[in-house]
Amino acid sequence: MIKKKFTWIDLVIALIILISITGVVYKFTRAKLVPITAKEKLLVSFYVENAPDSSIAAIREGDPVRETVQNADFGKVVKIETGDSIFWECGEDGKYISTSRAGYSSLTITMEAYGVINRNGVTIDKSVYYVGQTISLYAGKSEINNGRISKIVKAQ
Amino acid sequence: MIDKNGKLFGKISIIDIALIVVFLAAAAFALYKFGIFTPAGSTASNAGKIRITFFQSEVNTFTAETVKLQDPVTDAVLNVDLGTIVDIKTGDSISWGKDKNGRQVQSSKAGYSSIYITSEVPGTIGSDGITIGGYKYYIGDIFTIRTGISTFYTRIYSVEPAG
Repeated sequence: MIKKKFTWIDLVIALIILISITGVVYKFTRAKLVPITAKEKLLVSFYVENAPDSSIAAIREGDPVRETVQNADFGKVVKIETGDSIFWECGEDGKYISTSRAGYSSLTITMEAYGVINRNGVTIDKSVYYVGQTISLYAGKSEINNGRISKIVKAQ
Repeated sequence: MIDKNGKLFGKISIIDIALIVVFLAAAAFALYKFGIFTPAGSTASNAGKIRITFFQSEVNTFTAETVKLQDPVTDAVLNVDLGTIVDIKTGDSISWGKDKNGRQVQSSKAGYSSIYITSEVPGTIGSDGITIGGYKYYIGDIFTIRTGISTFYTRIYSVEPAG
């Protein structure tokens, strides 16, 4: 049963198909416009006010690091710095005071990772990260939760 | 109106009407996606520049020190371009606690700062909100912004015409 007439309904269907194709092409064209820049070696620092000493002690320089949500490759640990842990509470006067808890320390991990520093964030392993962003990391055998990216610079 | 063949006025069937509705919806969606009839498109011609100031009372000092003048600002959720930074002011962090009598007391935390970030962006200030990039914003809105390579959880503090 071959239709002999090209009706206006056929025209509508053809237009819908054309609009759909145009939309898909537009989407992919825009995706291709994103510049592909060579990844650079970056130093990414991660800071957390308090983490269990047992977790910190298990981290070694050279350990691989991954971000827990996107599973992004954050390279390897190149530096581990610790200090007194910081816990914030209100005193009787209502002012915030920081105290330390035995068995916990503050921690800064510096990682050597590959990525691109853009005008809008830093791309590391296909995800974009920002200084101040709260993230959790798998560093070697340890998981360090709810720290923040404190610094991102190009490695010298 | 509908004859024995199910056609309206003997010419248009229900299927035809359904097809027209689908076509119109697809066309409207396509036009919207291409920005032809979006509020952004319709307001772009009369949008002047405005200055919008974001405030965060407590942010890590390392984040406050990362942001720079001329950094681009975007709404992290809607991905709306909120212009470029023209002013940054930092101060002691502002943290509110409760004393033993239940009164609110302001104090600062070491390692934290407060920050005002002002950006300049094309937009309109109307009696029913602030329109930027086709989206409505309001003084007091709380949301995450991205500024260059840093991010802040801010509140819109003030808005005024630029210059």
